[in-house]
Amino acid sequence: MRSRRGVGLLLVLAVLVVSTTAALTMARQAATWRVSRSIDDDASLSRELILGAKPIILLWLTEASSSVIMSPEVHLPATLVSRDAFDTHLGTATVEITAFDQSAMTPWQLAADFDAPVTMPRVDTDVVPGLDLLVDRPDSPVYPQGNASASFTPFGTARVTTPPDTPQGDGPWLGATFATHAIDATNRRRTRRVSWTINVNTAPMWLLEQVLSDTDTNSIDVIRNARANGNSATPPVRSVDFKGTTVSLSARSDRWAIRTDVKLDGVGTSTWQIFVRRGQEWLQEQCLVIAE
Amino acid sequence: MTRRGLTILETLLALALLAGLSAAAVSWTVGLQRSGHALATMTRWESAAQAALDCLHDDLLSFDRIDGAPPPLTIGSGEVSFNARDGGPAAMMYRLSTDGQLFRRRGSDDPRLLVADVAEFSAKPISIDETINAPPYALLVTITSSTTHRSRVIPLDDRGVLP
Repeated sequence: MRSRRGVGLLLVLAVLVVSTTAALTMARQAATWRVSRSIDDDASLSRELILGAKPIILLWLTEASSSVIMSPEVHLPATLVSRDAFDTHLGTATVEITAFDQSAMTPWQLAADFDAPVTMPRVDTDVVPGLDLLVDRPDSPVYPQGNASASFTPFGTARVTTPPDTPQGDGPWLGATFATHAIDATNRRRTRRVSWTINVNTAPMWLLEQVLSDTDTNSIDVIRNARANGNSATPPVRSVDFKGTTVSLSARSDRWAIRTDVKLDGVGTSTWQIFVRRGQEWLQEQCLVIAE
Repeated sequence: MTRRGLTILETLLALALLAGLSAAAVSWTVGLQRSGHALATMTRWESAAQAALDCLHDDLLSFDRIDGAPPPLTIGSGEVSFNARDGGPAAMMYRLSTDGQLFRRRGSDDPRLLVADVAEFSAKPISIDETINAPPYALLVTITSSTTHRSRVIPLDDRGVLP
């Protein structure tokens, strides 16, 4: 009787071992498949969310961009446009949009004329400028980080962007120092006299000081005080000549670089878009996918 | 209460039962391994196809506006080509070879293999209303293998499609 029970137990044990192994194998395969699918779906959705951010960007450019005033202490001409977190069927997605004023940077083509905090690498001048031309260079970080600690500039209300509490990343970034689209592409080779516009309300003071070095020294202080008090500074002159280039002074910008970061369940997608105002319309002149 | 061993018949029956169970278990395990291998292969293929669609999506997203509009794309049989940006302006081509391999070619660089074992690679422009000749607003891209497929609707964002 005991030996028959033993045989039965052995059989049960064998069946148990085989079925458990099989079940574990199946579970592992299913989990692998599900994780793979999940990562793929996250990547797809994050790209769709990037495209979904465009109406928000256009609204901000139309309604709020002309009233941005940055503290004279800012190192980055950046302001936070929007930061949202919402639930999707794949988890919580965060979308962060940061605007960088192209009219508050040194024009890419004229980099050699300025004493900037970072040196502009040599690049091919025959092509339309873009930060993607610099990404393989290890010397300096290229794309400025979405400025997580910059003050939020709500639509049409508060206008002052204060300096970040803590510096983000490893700046100074090439993309926050040199404007790829400050000068129209047709003039990119500087084969003739070019002109560009600087925004006195957003440009870092070191840049304004160099551009306005031949004007009344008081004009810099007037701009600094106005910005420090959250008021719009009035350009002291319409334009100045700087090393053979005509620089127009303005209180607003018609050229913005927009960084959009989407994160979904650990998967991130980021873009760098250049918007230029043509008449009443804001057009996307360039879009680059940030591969970092 | 006398203790008795197994009869020959009982022993043979137990052995036959055990052999049957073992054979079933082996067959089941082999089947499971095969289906697991097939699933793993399919998962790898789907991931590669998905990565190819992501790559195409990113390339279509990257552009310089030239003459007032983003550069248009050209769609051929098993082929999509357009101008984009990737380390500078570059002509991009996604092409399915005759031996079922989907390649991405950037400018004059060597083609890069994205997915193997592709039965079909198609890109179909989608319009809101094709009857009024409305310009396409998106591209339905499908990569198909012998057992599965992956599709993606990629917004064209003002990129036109050349006839």
